[in-house]
Amino acid sequence: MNSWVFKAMKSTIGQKWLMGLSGLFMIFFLLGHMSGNMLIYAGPEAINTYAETLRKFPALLWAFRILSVVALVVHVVTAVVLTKRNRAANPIPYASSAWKGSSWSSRNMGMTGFVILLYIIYHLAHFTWRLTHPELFSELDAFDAYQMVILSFQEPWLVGLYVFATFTVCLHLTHSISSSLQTLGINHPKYNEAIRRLGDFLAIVLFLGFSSIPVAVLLGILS
Amino acid sequence: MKLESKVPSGPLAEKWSKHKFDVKLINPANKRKYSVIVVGTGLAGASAAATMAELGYKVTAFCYQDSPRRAHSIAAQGGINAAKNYQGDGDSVHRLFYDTIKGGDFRAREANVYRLAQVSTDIIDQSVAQGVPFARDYGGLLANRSFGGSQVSRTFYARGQTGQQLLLGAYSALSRQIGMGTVEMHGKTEMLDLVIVNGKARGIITRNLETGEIKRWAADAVVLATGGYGNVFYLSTNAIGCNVTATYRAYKKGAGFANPCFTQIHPTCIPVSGDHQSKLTLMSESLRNDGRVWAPKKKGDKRPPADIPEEERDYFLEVKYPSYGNLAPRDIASRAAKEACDDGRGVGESGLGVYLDFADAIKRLGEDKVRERYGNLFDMYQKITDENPYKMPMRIYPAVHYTMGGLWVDYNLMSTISGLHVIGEANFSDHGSNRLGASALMQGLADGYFVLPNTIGNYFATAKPEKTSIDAPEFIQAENEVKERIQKFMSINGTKTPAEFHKELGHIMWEKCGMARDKAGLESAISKIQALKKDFWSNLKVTGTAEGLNQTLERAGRVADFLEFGELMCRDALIREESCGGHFRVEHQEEGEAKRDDANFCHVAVWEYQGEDKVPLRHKEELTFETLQLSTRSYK
Amino acid sequence: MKIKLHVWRQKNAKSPGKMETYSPSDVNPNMSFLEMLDVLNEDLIKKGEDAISFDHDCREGICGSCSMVINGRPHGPSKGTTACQLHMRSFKEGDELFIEPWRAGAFPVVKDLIVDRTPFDRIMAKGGFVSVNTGSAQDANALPISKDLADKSFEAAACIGCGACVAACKNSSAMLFVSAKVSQLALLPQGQPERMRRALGMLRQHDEEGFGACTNTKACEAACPKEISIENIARLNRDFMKATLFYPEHESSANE
Repeated sequence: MNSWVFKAMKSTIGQKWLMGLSGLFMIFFLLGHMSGNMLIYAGPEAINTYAETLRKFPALLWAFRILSVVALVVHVVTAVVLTKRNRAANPIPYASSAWKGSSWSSRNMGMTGFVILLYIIYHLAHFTWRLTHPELFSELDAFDAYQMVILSFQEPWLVGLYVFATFTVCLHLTHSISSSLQTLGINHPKYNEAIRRLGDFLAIVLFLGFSSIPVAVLLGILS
Repeated sequence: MKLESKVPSGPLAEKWSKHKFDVKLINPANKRKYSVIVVGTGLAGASAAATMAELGYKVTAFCYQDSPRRAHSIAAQGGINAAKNYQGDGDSVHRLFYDTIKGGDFRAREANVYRLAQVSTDIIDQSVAQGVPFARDYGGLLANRSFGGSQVSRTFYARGQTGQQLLLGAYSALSRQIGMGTVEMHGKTEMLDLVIVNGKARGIITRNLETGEIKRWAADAVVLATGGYGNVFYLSTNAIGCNVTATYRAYKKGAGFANPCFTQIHPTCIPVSGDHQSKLTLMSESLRNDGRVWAPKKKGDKRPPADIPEEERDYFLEVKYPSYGNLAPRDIASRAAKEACDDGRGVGESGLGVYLDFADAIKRLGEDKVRERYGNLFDMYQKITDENPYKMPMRIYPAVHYTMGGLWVDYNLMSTISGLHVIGEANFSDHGSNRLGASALMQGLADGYFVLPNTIGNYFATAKPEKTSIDAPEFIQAENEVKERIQKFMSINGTKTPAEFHKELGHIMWEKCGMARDKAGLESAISKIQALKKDFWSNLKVTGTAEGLNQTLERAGRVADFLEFGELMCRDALIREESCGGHFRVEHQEEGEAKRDDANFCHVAVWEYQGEDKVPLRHKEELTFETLQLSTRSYK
Repeated sequence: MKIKLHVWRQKNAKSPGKMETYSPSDVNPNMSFLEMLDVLNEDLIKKGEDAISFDHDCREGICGSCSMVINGRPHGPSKGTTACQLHMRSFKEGDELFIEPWRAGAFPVVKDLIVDRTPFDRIMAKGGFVSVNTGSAQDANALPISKDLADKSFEAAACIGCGACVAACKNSSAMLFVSAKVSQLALLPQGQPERMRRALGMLRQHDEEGFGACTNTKACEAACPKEISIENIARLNRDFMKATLFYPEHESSANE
């Protein structure tokens, strides 16, 4: 295969574009996901109606699900390829390294990404496939999303796990928003600071938004 | 030794175009049958190699750095002159020609200098087309500034990094040819000897600095673009690796060495801070556009500069040379600074320094404007001295910067050895006894882009170099000599390092053959250098091995040549019983100003090697001035 | 001043290297870092040992020869400074310093602190130029260029090709170097005719030399002695994708 597409995907920049585009898609996914989740604060009615409405358009739902899975797979596979490539490019470590100028999160995207991947699998197993806590869901109506959440987050360790996981997502995102834009060629001194702040702001909003729910359940604010 | 300048006949302004028409051409298909070796890939070498390759010649280029981009041309800060007259301030080819001849104190060949002024404009066009980001005005046109020794603004610049940008331009042109396979480039390779077959320069012997491999290379012509020999002084503004080896080896093989004593001392360098110092850093002459040079009026005045009131300051350049003021030429500004220091009025811990003060400029233009013009130079100064030049005046002192002397070349840039061409600082040609600021870049690129590529074809067409190979006995013999010499360095096993010898030599040269020279000093220098040379060959210590990378060995080879060359410089300075440009003989002065002797010394001195420990022969190329009148240089 | 040095010593590309310890005497705070090494080397030669090899030449921060990582930072701790312009006054009495060569697979060690940086030259040969033969240029002022663009181009052109960006990058990516050269010419009208071809050609060679991919950590920007901005990398990212997506005709010529 020697087509231009293949060549581009073999190049360092081409691979970065794959990372950036798939990552950006997932950021939009997260924003949508969180907005939906926030309905829980409006009561069982609201969030359950939302969940049911989603299911009324299966084609759309599935298209979105497939896109998300594709984005995830592209992101993960490219990450593995790039990490291998970058490790090969830098085989000998320094005896002393300071890495000045780079943030911790930017240097540890692989690690945070891996944690997030494990979490995504767990999260799907928990709510979508209902494998981790079958006993909690056995007596529930399939569409009672509200009760699913309330019942799940009675356990402190699970709440801790979710908070930790969403915090990892937050760390990952503090780098990824400005990074993906940079990869796509969006960098202008006039707007860089704003982009960086917006990135940090979004990361924190997502963290607070997502983690607030299990915490609120545990504290009895939601019941 | 025959010194035929081969200057074409006819009116000065038409010589070059006439010559270009008269030279024999080689048709494009035949050019690829001719091969050229280019040693050194700074401005002159890179531009020549690229242009000759564009024309179709087979070029093999060498440099001692790992990449052509690192040649010391890169360090030139201030700018490049060109007679564009974009500022409409009365500049012209003739004025640039006149300024250069006058600046060189009438010790350069008229025809060469005129040609230099003519092609100067093409250099700017070529560089801009390559994407060299020169400074521009808001209207989008090129900006100019003024430089020492000139009353017009003809200097093009790219902040304080003009040399870097021009070199990167030439290097990009060279890279293009390397990519196309028309130039074979060898970095980290040093030329250690020239090979002559049947009286023609036919190749070189090199040492690969990474592997230590000694190799023979043959071609139809050899071009030396190996820069100047300022490092004979140990401390200079040259890069650490700059050396005289290539040109000195050529001299030993019969090339005439012209005016070796003509060295330029640059007035604005950062003073020496201690014995450990390995090199001196230049502060661009462009600083003298806005900075004012002064020393205290009182001897031994150790007050901080801010505490010295205006009336107790001696703005000596402005006082002595009112029409040029702080922009007096380099030799004159340097000597004036030295006089102030010799008078006990020097500043700084060592007393070897004068002030270059920007307080007035900051008051007039504001700190931001000054930062925009000179920011990188100010930063560099602060890094080295730990003093903030926005707050207190810079301390400056003269330092060896450029060497006007070099291998003698004719109008075609060919040396006295047939086929050996010499370009850029390595030749003696255009600057006479003093180079004006912003003229080195101009000359290097003029030689490389526009002169040599036109004249070398004539050599091929007329000399018709016969076939030779690296297996010819001359090559084998030269290779063996190089190997023996390296073996010798490795086997002396004495007690002193190459750097120690270098330092001692530099000290002798600076004291006796530096800014001011006299008969007794030069004579004592010659005997001291001879003794030092003897010591060198019996007491040198080089560690490591001859194979592989060995920087101590590299240094030893360079110092060995400097030792012999230093003696030649002193001999040249001794016989030139006059003061002209950068060559100042204490015996020949009038009210502190250099006194030229046109009756006896209006010539180029060309030295011919006679053998180990023998006094070389001095030949003369008389200089005739058809267009300009020999006159006393005055900047008052 | 007394300090302790740990210096990487390696005889040649094939033999393994290791850190050796030295305690240079008489370190003067006004010495440059390289002068401190000079003094140490003089001692070593006198003792009959092989001097420490390190690349250096102009010693005024412009040739880009010097290349050492000092305490984990390319060119040492000072911002916008090459190792040759670093002075010992930046360190304290009793400091312990680790001196290592640039580490990158594409920059193999030649000896001690010297690495092979010729990949940069090969990248340049794949497009780091404007194809204009000597003598064919028009008058320099026939093409006005806005001062802002010329200044921006200059800032990219200030790259000294030292490789600190590669040394600082955890991925050993040379993207800052490549992008500086691409940007210098992409910002100028002279660079437009070959703009797409240049981005393709230089990036391909970058990848072929074994440099890694940019993950936007910005360590390069912080280490760059000429403080070149990663804005240039964004420009390269744009140009490369534009060339890939919309200029198939440059595909073949960029590979020549």
